[in-house]
Amino acid sequence: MSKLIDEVLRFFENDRWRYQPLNSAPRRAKTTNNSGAGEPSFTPHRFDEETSIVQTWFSGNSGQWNCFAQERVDASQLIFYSIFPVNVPPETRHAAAEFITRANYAMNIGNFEMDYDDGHVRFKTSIDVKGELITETMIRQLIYLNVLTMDRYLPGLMRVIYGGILPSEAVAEIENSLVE
Amino acid sequence: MGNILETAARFFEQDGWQFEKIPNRPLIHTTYESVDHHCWECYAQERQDFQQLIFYSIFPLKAPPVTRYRLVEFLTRANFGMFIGNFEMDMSDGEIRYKTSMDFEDQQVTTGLIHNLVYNNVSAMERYYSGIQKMIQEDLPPKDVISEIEKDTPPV
Repeated sequence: MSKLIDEVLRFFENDRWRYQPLNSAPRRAKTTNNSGAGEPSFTPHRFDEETSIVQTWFSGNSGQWNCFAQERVDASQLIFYSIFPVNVPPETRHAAAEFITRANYAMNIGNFEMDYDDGHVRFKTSIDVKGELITETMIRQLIYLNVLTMDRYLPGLMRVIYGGILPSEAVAEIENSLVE
Repeated sequence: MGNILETAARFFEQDGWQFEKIPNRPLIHTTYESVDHHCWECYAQERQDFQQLIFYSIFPLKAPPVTRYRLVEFLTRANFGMFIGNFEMDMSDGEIRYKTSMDFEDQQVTTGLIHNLVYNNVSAMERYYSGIQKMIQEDLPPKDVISEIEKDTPPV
């Protein structure tokens, strides 16, 4: 029983999101799906447990990207990911990690994470509702806080990867623009 | 103290934690001792304007400047694949902490949700504690230390 994902699907319907439940998660290396956006895709971390995944897409001011909602059924956890549209090349991975560390330190809800081995970056928000009920408001907050944060930080991380800007400067610029 | 922090205080009381409310600040301070007898400070912080609760486990040692970049890699590797919460480091002073948080806007705050927030947090700190300590004290490859931890202990 995938109760949390059912609630996510209901939210997507009510809030008019395009979505696609996935029977099994696509491997990250493969790049075919119907989003039209550049991949990377998504691989769940544990295959030894019951997991439900639904894919969706978001277009913000900074670009468009893939998103995945994952339910860990036994743990009663719901995790939402915004996938950064490109994998970070090896030569700028340390700089990206510093950007992510600096960005995460000021983040109240959610965090960026990167697979150091292939440069896959994503923003995660999640909730553990074991013993509790999930509500549409929780799902809305989880998803909107997530995509809006990715939208805000995406250009800065791009400039660190491809523009040679210092991670400290990129994060400071984003954080200063939030204060204004 | 706001409504969220009141509920957090009720949770700590019911669950047998010793804690103190910090006067004039939306903060509760407590400590946690793991089964390995590692001990660290924890803070529950309410952001009243946003109806958010953030719970932090603070690693007792700060990362000295020369170790910070290898800690960046270590913490980035640790965070990837973590389902609830994340490690973070203050690059200016080397403070390392684990954060779990929740937005309670238009939401009923329950001790059950706070229980999950707190225990997911301390379990993650417990799992990586010795690894962080090693990374601060010895010049080891972050990837190897992470593999060692993730091979030996189940994910949170």
